[in-house]
Amino acid sequence: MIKIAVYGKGGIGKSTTTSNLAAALSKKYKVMQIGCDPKADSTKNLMGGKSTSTVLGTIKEKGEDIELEDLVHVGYNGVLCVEAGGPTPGIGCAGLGIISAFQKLEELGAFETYKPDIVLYDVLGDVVCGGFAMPIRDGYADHIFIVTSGEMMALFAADNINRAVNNFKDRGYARVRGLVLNERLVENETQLVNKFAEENDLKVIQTIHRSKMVQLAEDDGMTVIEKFPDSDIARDYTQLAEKMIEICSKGVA
Amino acid sequence: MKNKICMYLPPFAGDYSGVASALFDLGGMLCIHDAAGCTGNYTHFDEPRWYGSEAMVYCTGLRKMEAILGDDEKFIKRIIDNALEKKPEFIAIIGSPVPNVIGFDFKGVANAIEKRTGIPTFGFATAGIKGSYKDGIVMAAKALFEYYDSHDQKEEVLKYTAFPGISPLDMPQDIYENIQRQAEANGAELIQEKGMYGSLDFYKNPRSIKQNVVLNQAGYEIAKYMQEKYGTPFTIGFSIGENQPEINAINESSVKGLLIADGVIGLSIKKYLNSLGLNVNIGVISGRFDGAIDLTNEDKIMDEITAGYDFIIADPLILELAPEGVDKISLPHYAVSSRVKKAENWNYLDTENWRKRLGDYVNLANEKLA
Repeated sequence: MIKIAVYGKGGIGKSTTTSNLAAALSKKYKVMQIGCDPKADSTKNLMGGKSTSTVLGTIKEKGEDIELEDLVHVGYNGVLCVEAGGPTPGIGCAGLGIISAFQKLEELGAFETYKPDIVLYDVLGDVVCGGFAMPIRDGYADHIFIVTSGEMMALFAADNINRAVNNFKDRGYARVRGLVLNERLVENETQLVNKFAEENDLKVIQTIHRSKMVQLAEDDGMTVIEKFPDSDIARDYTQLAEKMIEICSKGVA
Repeated sequence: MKNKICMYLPPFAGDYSGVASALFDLGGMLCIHDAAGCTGNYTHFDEPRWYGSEAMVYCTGLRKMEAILGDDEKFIKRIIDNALEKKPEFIAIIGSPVPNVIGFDFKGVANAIEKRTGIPTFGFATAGIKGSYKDGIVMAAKALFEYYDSHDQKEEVLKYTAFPGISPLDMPQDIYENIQRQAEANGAELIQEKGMYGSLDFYKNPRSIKQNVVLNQAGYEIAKYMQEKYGTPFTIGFSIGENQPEINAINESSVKGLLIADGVIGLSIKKYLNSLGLNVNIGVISGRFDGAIDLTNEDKIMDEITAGYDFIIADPLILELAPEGVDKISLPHYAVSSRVKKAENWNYLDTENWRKRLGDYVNLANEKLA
């Protein structure tokens, strides 16, 4: 089982990237995507644009005695979709929410039951507290990919995430295995991101070119892999999927 | 769903106490990650052996600002400084409710400490919320097996008998020693030294165990794990009295008893009582067990003890909840009443002691059977 966490600045396109990645990987593998954001919209475009019940929402509604079938939803091409969920904005504790959701999935034996080949964790913005570091802890994801653009704030967030991971290298956490450049058409964008990668001993493994088709597909509640499978942008995501598998299959350095 | 809150009984020993108990006499340094002042709950009140002992148990002294800011480095440094001075066999960081609420990474911090000290380090994300002491004992045992299996050379000559998972939380010292003596008299070479519940060699050399003798529920789970992993055979239970007779007939109709104890201890006692013609149901407090009624919370206990039994054998604190008219036989269980009822311990391996307590019922049963 290959377990990958996708991090990056809020709004940079992590969920779009992750769900397209899941859709591309589903052609060859059994994939589970776990959204780790209280907004619970990570897997929406794999579920025909519909919102699904979340782990925490289900616990709130039904109590602790729940079944995996309440939490795991089968989406496009058999992708197993899970949303951790979280508190209402402004109250509660989202970090503890992630911890509780992960504990519940573990307790119910989600991986043992569904036996996915690949697990993708789509994690909210920065690693602001222990809860949001949960997906990269020992026993969860083994590999991290950071989605960034050439915008200063996106690179700043990528730097923070990379530093946080490096700070914990003696704890056996997952390691950053590469950057994904999600183009925003900033001037000299490729050079800026490549420079950042070089300074941090990382590589840009794939550029996702700017495309209106992403928006068009999302308007219909789909990924571009589903809606426009022969498009250039679908090819970008397919290449990203292939490169990630190649990198992750080599194991953790 | 039954309420988990105890209105009348104290909360039973939790998973953290089970971990602390399992690791007590193994030469490790135990660090309870909690606010100072609470360590006694997991050790002193749940474990008779900590009193006056020199075992290395510390509290990390977790405070509000450290919880908010996640100042793990402070604890790590404190633990490392102490460990380098004391040179323990291993370090164990044992969780309590607060670190779990803030998502403290027990495994990650243990990895970091092990890298810096070279001392085997374990992190146990216990919280005393879901798991019982039995789960804690099993958790500790599996962690030690997994570590030593991948790190140490193994003695592979099968020669020892072991009592996996046995703890004073389930079985008082004198009774345990009595069982050890019986096993030795039958020619067994024990891996646990006389009077010692734990043995680091047991975890370092599991392939040297010829046979496991299961005395409690924790031991049953560990024995099953060892059977699967190392092929170690095991037996369950112990005898009461010498030449315990086989069960011939049980007086099903008139007398009905309830025995609340650890599951394996309960089954062993039940076998003896059956041989006297008495029928008893077994109730367990530390998790489901085949052949026993699940009494893991106070509501379930209240329902069962008021179900029309003639006599109830249980910890004295549980007996206080039993209705009038029911004969009550005290059987202190340390995981329930700790030191409070320790003085009421009696030798339940001695048949005379049972006849004193249940003589009338035995006579009645024999008359009916005759």
